[in-house]
Amino acid sequence: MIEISNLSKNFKDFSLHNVSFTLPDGFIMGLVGKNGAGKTTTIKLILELLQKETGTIKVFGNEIKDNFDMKQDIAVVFDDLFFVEDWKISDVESAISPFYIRWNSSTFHGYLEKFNLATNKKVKELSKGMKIKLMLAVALSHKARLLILDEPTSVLDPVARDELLDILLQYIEDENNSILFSTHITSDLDKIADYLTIMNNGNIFYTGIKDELFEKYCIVKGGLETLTSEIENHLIGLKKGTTGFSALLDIQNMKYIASGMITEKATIDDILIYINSEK
Amino acid sequence: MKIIIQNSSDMPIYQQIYEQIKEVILSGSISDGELLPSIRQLSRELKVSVITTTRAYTDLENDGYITIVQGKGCYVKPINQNMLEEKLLHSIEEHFSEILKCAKLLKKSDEELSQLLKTLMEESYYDRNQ
Amino acid sequence: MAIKNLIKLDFYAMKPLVRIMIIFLIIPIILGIVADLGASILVTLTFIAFMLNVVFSITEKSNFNKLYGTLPVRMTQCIISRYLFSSIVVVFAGILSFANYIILSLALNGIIDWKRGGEFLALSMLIAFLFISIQYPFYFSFEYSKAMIMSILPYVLCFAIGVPLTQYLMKNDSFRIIIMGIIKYFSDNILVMLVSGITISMLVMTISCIISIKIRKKEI
Repeated sequence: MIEISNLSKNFKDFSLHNVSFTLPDGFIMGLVGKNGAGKTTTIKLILELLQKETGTIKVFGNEIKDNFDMKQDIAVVFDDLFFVEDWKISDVESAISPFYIRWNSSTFHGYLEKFNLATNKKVKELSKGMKIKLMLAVALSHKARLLILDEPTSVLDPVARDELLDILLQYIEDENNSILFSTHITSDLDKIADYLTIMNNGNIFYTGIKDELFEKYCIVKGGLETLTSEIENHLIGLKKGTTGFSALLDIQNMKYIASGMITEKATIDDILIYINSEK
Repeated sequence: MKIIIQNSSDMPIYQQIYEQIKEVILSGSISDGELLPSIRQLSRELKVSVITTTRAYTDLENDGYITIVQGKGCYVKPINQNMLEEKLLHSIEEHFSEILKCAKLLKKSDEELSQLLKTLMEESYYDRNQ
Repeated sequence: MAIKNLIKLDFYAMKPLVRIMIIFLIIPIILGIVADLGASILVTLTFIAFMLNVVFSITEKSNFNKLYGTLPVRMTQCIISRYLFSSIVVVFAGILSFANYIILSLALNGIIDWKRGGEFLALSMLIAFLFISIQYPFYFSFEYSKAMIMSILPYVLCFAIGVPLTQYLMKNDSFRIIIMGIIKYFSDNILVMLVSGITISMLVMTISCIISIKIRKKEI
């Protein structure tokens, strides 16, 4: 569905280097990284809101260059609204729906009902969470095959987040649909993401099947006295404290671990934290 | 069909699903030919990724418990009694080999081993008939 | 198709200001009664031309750049539709203010001076389109607050250089005779004036549109 290779883009104080990843049809990919890692930049490059410098971006098998028609099949939810605040929700439909060939009004109203959004309410009267739900309702009403979400959950309460996850899983029940979900709240992805792309400082740290990521890395903890410089070389993001140390470990380096050290499963959050303290 | 995922467990989620569905099939609470939830439906219900449920179902298919028919769904295969017996027999053999290895290390004689086995069987008989 | 929808989108974006716009249209009526009927047309259209750039402010505040990135549209279409939208508004305002001119003429003077009305209409529309043509490339290339300041620049320059220049040139007799001759010619041939007014307007708008497309801000 999305194929990116060797993408790069330079700004004054930030660069994307050699970003490559692939999202196959029918799956959910989580795009994670701390704030400023390059997630939103990547998404903007996919949508041609920014111009790339090198590399290729293909969506639905075609290069995106000026191929704006493919946006009929793409739906985007950003973390801020792109509607006029004074509009009523009915205005949103009147203004936006003519652009989409496959707009389905009853689907849209179905979602409005489900999210408890009254059509005569003004956009500015909606809470942050309801604004996201409105964008989601619009996104899901024109039969898009690719749903891109840029940090949609940062303002949602846990109940709303859970509802969102269920809607995403419902969307992916149709195996022709795919989702690219960028977030820094990773507990959502721990469960439902099929693929994961972890970005750090404009680079890709890992891209591939999420389960394999958890099989590749683990957390190792132990007492300071058991640390040798040889072991330290193989640890990622070593944190030393008075009670001991902890670090991320690539499983193939397991043999370097001394007895007395314990290992445990790493979550996406753990991985982000440790790769970020690795400088 | 009851499937409960424990996030805190050490067992990978796809394996938890595999084991629980296998048990349900073996216990007979699902009859052969019955339709299981689709890979994607199950993923939605359990709130896990599609790849996870796919892996569980693929393993179940490879081990002969279910068949996945493209476009139709996943059906429970009739339990091949012979195959099941063979599998369990194989499992017993493997475990016995392990036991013999341990006994050898402890330098236990064959008689001591048989005695141990007898005691355990009696205990288990006693437990089962409580 | 997309352009038609984009024009509608611009109208929707202006929706919150509709009431204010209508209230402001009272001004030409008052002006017409108090001062000069012809001037009311000029003032209305000049005002509209300046007010129109608020659409850039609204679309910028509403993150429309992200909306355009999401919708199946080309940036070029967005620019063309903005020009068309503005032209529609100017033409509409022209018709309204001309109708106002006619009504007030009848009400106050009993007769309608078509020639004067036509002259003022043509001149006002030309000025309005000129204003838009000069301003818009700035608004497409910079963010609203910067563009607002920068778009005043051409006028300041025109004023600072143009007025003394015109005064100087007008002292030259032959130049003055030629200019007066041209003005009289247009005055006598209303049709020629209208046609050339329309042509020049369309020309400057098209050139401005092309410039906007070429130099627009490409990064969001």
